[in-house]
Amino acid sequence: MGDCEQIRRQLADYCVGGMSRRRRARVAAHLRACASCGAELEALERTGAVLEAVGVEAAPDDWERVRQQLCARPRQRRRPAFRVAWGVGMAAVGVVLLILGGLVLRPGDQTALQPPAVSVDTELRGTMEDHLSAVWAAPLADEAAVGLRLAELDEDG
Amino acid sequence: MRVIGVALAWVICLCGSAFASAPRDAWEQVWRSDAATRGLSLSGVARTTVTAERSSAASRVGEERERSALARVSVRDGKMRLDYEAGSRRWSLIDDGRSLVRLNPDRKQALVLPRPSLAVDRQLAERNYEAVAIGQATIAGRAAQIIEVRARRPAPRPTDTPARPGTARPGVIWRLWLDQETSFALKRERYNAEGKLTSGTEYAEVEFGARVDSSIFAIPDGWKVVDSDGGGEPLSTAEMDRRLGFPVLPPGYVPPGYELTGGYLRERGRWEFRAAELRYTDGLRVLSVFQRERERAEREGRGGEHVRGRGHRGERGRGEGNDRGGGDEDRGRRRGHDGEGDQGASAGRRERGGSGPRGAEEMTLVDRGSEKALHYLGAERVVVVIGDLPAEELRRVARSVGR
Repeated sequence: MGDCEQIRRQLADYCVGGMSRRRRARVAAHLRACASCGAELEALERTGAVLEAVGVEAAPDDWERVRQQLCARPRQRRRPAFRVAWGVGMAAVGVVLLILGGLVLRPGDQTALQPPAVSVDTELRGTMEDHLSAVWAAPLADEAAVGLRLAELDEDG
Repeated sequence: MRVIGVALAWVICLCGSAFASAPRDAWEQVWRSDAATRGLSLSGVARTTVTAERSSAASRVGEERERSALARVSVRDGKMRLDYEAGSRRWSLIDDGRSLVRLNPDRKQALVLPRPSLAVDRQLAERNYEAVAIGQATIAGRAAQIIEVRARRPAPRPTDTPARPGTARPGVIWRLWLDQETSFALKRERYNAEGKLTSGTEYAEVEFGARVDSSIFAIPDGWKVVDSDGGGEPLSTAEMDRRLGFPVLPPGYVPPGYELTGGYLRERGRWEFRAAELRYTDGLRVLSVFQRERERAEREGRGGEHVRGRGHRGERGRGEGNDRGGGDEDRGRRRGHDGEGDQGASAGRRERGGSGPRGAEEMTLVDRGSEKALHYLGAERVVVVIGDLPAEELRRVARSVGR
């Protein structure tokens, strides 16, 4: 579970190609093995595609004003660490905007927000739990044995 | 001659009534036992053992494993609490009549499962089973009558499973040692559809009329409560369709003797998936048929990765085509396990088959002793069938959903 959390934090960078080759290879290897993280990536990519299709652009007047302001400021040296933090912060903001864009621009399209597909293992255990609850309530049920089987579901895997 | 005739008729009547009452007496004892389980106030200690088959990469045929625990049992006012000990593990289970609550003392967590209220259909049970008294014994120092409950239609031995030594006669589902005074089951043995012993519980000590504190059936203060979100009240098909957003389809085939008891909705809950459940019973056994629509990721060819799950490397299997209908369980067994060592009880035999395009249909079978679960990945729908049935029957039910 710890691996998945780490990988998911890096998916935004992975999406936009903003990471080293070595890190990218590590993330790609995990995505090949993990359907859950793979589906997360897919959702991010779909949201990005939605925004591209809509074509959100800033008003030209605004850009011109900003450009003039930037040119007017004296250049300041920034420490490399600040640049990295700045880059990460902008990437995070970008991800939030992408997700919000998917929510706001296409409210009817829920496919981008579909939860990841469930694994066979999880599905078997979840359904077995429901089934055993019914077996517990059936006539002649051996409650002690059924209870032991229910506990196995959490233990196994 | 007349005297002889009368005497003969009297003897015939006596024998007839004896034969007629024996099965009736046995069933009466069985039903009294079922009622006694919750109607009494008792405290006891029992040892319970369950067996299941665990498939591993190392063997083609599933390895059997046995689990055992000591359970302290308390019953009062229709509620039951079991406090388990298995080695260093401790946990408890409470049935308060509305829910099943699993208490994990290590995490101070209470997992709440809905407890269905299955109406006892005695006529259905007696149509499908017979109860026979086979002897007497002493359990926990008390005299007990032994009753066998047998299926009237024993399941045929599966063609793909060789006979194993020690397999009991197919047809016997329960052996019950019923206390002669209270009809409480002092010992039980459960056999599966193939006649194999899959669980047993025997009381080492029991005290009827014991003083049981009612506070033990409540969740302790300050514990985290987790709702499993499955089961619940039965719903109509229309309500399930509306809440799930897709039509719930009944199976075209249900084994003889089984009748529908209701439909249930599994919300996301702790397992993070939604599915509809159609539940069937033959009076004693339960058959559950779960279904959900395949999600887009599964339909768009990511199914191989999706179904991999824990310990599976089914991708290797997918490259080796077996598109003949009906599946080949042996081939699936050799192919489906690429993991190392024991993969957990949910790892099962993987099969490929069906008449559709390659990858359209895939099945995973897990044997948990008295209950087998078949996960069926169809073209449009995922179906999970769970019950005490031979694998072929489970497959037949799964494939018939919506047909």
